[in-house]
Amino acid sequence: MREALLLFFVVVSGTGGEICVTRAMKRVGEVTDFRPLAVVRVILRALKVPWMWIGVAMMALAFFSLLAVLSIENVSFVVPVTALNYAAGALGGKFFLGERVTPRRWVGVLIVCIGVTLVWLGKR
Amino acid sequence: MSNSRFRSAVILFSVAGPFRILVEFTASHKIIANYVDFHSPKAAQAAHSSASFELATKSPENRAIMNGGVFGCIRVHRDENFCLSLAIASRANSGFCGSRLSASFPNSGVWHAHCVMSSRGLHFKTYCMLLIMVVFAPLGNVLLGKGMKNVGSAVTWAPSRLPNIISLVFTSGYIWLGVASLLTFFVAYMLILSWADFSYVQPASSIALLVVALLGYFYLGERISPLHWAGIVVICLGVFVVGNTPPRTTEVR
Repeated sequence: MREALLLFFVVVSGTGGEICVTRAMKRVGEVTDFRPLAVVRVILRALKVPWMWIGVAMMALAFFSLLAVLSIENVSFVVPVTALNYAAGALGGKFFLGERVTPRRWVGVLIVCIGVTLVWLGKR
Repeated sequence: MSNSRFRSAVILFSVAGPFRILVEFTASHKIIANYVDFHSPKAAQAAHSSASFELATKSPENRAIMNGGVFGCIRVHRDENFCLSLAIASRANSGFCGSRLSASFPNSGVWHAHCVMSSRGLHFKTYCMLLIMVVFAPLGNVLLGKGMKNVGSAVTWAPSRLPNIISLVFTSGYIWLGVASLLTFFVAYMLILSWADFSYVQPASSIALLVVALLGYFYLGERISPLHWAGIVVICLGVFVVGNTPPRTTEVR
């Protein structure tokens, strides 16, 4: 029960955080310069966008939940289950970022969900 | 060309390969005039040297087709009912691969631009970043798993033991190595998200799941049942289905 709750936090908070970070980075603009100094400058610019902070906070919550659940379960179980992120990600990309999710992507997401179910069943 | 009665729509675009851009007007308004314009010296130069832009009004009522080279801007002037001017700008190598852009104009219906093109520059850059992500994310997870197994199971974590557990977590070498790996992953992730869709990057990177399972099996000695393996393979299959969609479906603001 406790691990299910923790996994829920890992998935929902993690995906929510990533969506916020995406929003922030799209506002920062495309990165074309990969010299270390320029990358640092991009990161500093990203930190000025509030979405980035909300995203980082949610990702931190997801991270500590991940640590807790990793102390209970095997990595090879936990990480595949967090693939539920893809379902949450497609939904989030569609509803919060206005990205167009093609039918093909939905089929992929469905297959991922079936896989997660198998992993869950295979554990017992 | 510049008549004060006219408002204009502008698409700025840049691509790495040959492309064709199709601008369709579904409104019944006539296109009064249209022409091609270049917005940077580099772009103008590239256009002069490598490609001849031609803008042909195929069906004068509703369609303009442009074939061309590297970087440019199509500007379509329409009559004064055209209330909104549009600028879709994209930076070098970003391209709107195979995506359909649309914007609606009050009083003049819906306006579509469809780009069919290859943008190898974008894909190469994207794949490099994906590779970094696929290596460092699983490594980070496995190191965290190893570190946390030393700390002890969260099932028995009493609130009073929390400070003790936190200190154990933060003094573990494995945890810090894992965090460093995940940070490397995260930076690559942030960079890639600045040009590619979230719903593209995330699925494409999930091949990392297979890497995690392999590392768990060979390095940590975890027992993985056949059904569990099957599940992981099915997840990767799902990822494969998702992975071939275009990197960007939204316009840059």
